[in-house]
Amino acid sequence: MMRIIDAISDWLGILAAWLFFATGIFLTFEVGSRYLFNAPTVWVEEISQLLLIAGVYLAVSRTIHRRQNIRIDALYGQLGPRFKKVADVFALLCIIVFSGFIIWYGTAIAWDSFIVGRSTGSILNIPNWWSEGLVPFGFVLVALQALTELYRVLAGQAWGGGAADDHTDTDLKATLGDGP
Amino acid sequence: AAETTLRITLQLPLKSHLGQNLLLFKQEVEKNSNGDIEVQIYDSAQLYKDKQVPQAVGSGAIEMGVASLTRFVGEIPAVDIFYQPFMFNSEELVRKATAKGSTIRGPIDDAIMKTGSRVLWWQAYGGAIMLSKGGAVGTPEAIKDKKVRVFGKTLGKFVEAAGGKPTLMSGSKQYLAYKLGTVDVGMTGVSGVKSRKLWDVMDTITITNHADIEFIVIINEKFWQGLPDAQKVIITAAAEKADLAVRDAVSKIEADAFAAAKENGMKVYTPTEAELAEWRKTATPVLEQYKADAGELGAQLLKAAAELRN
Amino acid sequence: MTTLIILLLLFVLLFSGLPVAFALAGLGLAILLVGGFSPLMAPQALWGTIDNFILLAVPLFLLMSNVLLRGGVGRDLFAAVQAWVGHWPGGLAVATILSCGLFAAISGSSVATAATIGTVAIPEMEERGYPRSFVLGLLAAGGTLGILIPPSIPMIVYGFITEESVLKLFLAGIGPGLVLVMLFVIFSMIYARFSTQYRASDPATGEERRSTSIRALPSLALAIVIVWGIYGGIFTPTEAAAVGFIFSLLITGVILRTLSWSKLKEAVVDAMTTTVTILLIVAGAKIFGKAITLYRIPQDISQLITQNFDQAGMFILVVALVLVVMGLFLEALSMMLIMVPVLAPSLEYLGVDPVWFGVFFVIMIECALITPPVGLNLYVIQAVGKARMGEVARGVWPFLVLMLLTVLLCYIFPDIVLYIPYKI
Ligand code: NA
Ligand code: NA
Repeated sequence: MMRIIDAISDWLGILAAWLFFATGIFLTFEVGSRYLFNAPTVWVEEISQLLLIAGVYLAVSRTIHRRQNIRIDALYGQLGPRFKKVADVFALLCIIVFSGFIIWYGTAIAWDSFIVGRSTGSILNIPNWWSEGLVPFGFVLVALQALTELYRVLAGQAWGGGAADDHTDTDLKATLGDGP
Repeated sequence: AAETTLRITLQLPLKSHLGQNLLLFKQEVEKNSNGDIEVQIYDSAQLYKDKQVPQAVGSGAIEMGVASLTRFVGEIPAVDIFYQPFMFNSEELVRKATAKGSTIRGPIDDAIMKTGSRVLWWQAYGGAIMLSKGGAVGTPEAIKDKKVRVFGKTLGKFVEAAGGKPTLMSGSKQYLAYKLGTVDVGMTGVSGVKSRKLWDVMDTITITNHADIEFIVIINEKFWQGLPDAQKVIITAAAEKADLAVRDAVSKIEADAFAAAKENGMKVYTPTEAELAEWRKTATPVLEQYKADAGELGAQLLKAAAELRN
Repeated sequence: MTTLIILLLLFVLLFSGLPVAFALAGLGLAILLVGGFSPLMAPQALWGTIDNFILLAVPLFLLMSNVLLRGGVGRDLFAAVQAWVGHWPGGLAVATILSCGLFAAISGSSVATAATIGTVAIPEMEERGYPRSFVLGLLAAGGTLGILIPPSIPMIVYGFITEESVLKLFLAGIGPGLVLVMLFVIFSMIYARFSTQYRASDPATGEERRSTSIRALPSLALAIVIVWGIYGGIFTPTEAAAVGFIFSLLITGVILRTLSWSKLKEAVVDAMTTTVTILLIVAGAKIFGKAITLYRIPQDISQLITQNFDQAGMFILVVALVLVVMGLFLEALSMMLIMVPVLAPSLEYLGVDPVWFGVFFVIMIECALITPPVGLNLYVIQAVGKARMGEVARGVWPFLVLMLLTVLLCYIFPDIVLYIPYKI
């Protein structure tokens, strides 16, 4: 079960990465079509915007799983293993409770928009609940992932079950590539 | 402390005429309720952008808000009657159409009520004009193959009907877009020309008056129903006062803005009757589309608008 | 009193090791609930914040710089610059700084700049006999140019918070960026002149210069396309990021052929990770910001400021001091997201240009990135140079002084910042 949650988070994160890649292509296409054919598109800005929202909220649970979220470890880094465990449990509980609120109220918002029939009113006229619904959906994944990590931490295993990496390491990998 | 707090979210700064109009409402309500009602204004989109306001007020996240009327076009396509080209193109027509309970405004207010928000009053913003560089936009020919900034889907269709290329963008992006030439022609209210100093980047205004821009002040309906009757009376009275005040103010604001634009070197052009007739002819497909999209309510409003004209 | 309690709670949460995004968002939600405000504002803020065209530039600039990085562009740039200036006194150090400056013009992040140039420059400089702590300090500080010279992710975020034009902010960063590069170069040359261990390099041959320059040319062209494209009005900053990204794919994938499929996948995934962690903090800060706005905290602080300062100079000095202290402990972007919404309302009253203030803030963030104990660039250089924190921290302080000197220069001569965006 935990493995499945890990896999879903990881997979949606990768999907999000390629959604961002797609926005790069769309926006370049927009610039090209504006200058080459003098024809600004009507869909690029709106679709790119939707992809950004989708990408961000689909990928949060992966960053929780891999422990990539930026945090201040000036104090945390100095703690012994027992206090670190306490801090980790506290952090995960905060994340779970927060996610609970977002799932509840975020669903209320998307539902309200669905019932009323709100939509962007633009040329594509996309229903608002599509993008509003992405927020609570993303946080369902965050809550599940955080519960998984909470179980791991309480059971004395590593956060992320070995997949985790500290944020500085991540940034390094992000920037170094395979190095010299 | 106050029994009731009304928080109002506004996209524009407090010093804008919509913000000043909210201040008038605030003073009126606070004075007449002897402090039982407190009004807090959150301007400059501190809390919500214009596009979020219908949802924020309708869901009850905040008590009150100001949104442009056509923000509701997704759920109520008929509101775009105000953007139908040359539908209400004189001050007299606009005043008739936007009077409380009129055959135009009445049905729209009722439709908005179904989204969870009650309309307290309408805030006039003014008519739409065209901005250009090196020559006026007298006829549809002048925007053919040009990139035109628009602020609504219907206005986009209007531009397309005239052979132009519409680009939807928010007001705050205009200055840069005109400067960079991302668009060739602009569509906006004349007060925006003054507040955004658009004369730095454009040199001609054409007074087409092809659309009427309206904002509405809404209050969450559930919240409203929970208010004591005495407070409802006070709020309604203040809203009516604010409604009239802003409509009177806007004529003067527009006159001042035109004067300021001229002072800063802009040419102001008024199209002739013949030119207007040509514009109207071009816009026929937009009206057809409106009839198709806006359903029964749309048909009802079109009929009412025709009666107002006569 | 409320303000102090909220501030205290925020610091407790941040230092407990709770991710910054959740500390801000969670505390924001909690104070909404306590104050009887609608909790619906929290998910609305999460949605509304990301629904913004300016922020779309964040993933795109990150994609571009990650692709360039994996494509080995840092190495090419460094080799070319070194071939030209390596034989000057302190030539290798000068080459390092110039490479940082050039890479900064195609990257929006200081971590990326420090890591890219650091990987190639640190071993070479040490081999040439530069003292270790000088080398590490130089790289940590040089990397921070990444957020001052456009494009810059903190400037995009500042533009998002204050509704200032990102274009103007980018242009405003060029002047102070060049001043800082110049100060670093002068300092390095003086340092090398008086150093005993340092040995100068031999001048490169014409052939070396030619071949290295040709390899670096496409990346230089990219930097020019971006700056010229934004400035000349061909595209908006967000579009520039997209076009730059596609060009970086062409350069590394087709022209230089250094980008393999697996490297591309890594670049794309890493850009996503950084994007999501940054934007989640931006969204969390928005919840916190709305909550304190409903408590009228920014309004009260702004009033306090306008009552106590009637001179911009005193205000800037106090803000700078606060930022230096906060910067010791706080992550740089969080500092901006917490402080700017609170300070911005006072700027107009004090007559401080918001674009100038943005650049000032970015330089202060650069300082925060290299002051111990919390500074992302310190960590990066520590890892790249296989060093201890102390070694890096010892080497960093002269550069810190030069950065603060730059702030002072920008204050005395505001045109360093404002000439390019307003007068050209
Ligand atoms: Na940069
Ligand atoms: Na620091």
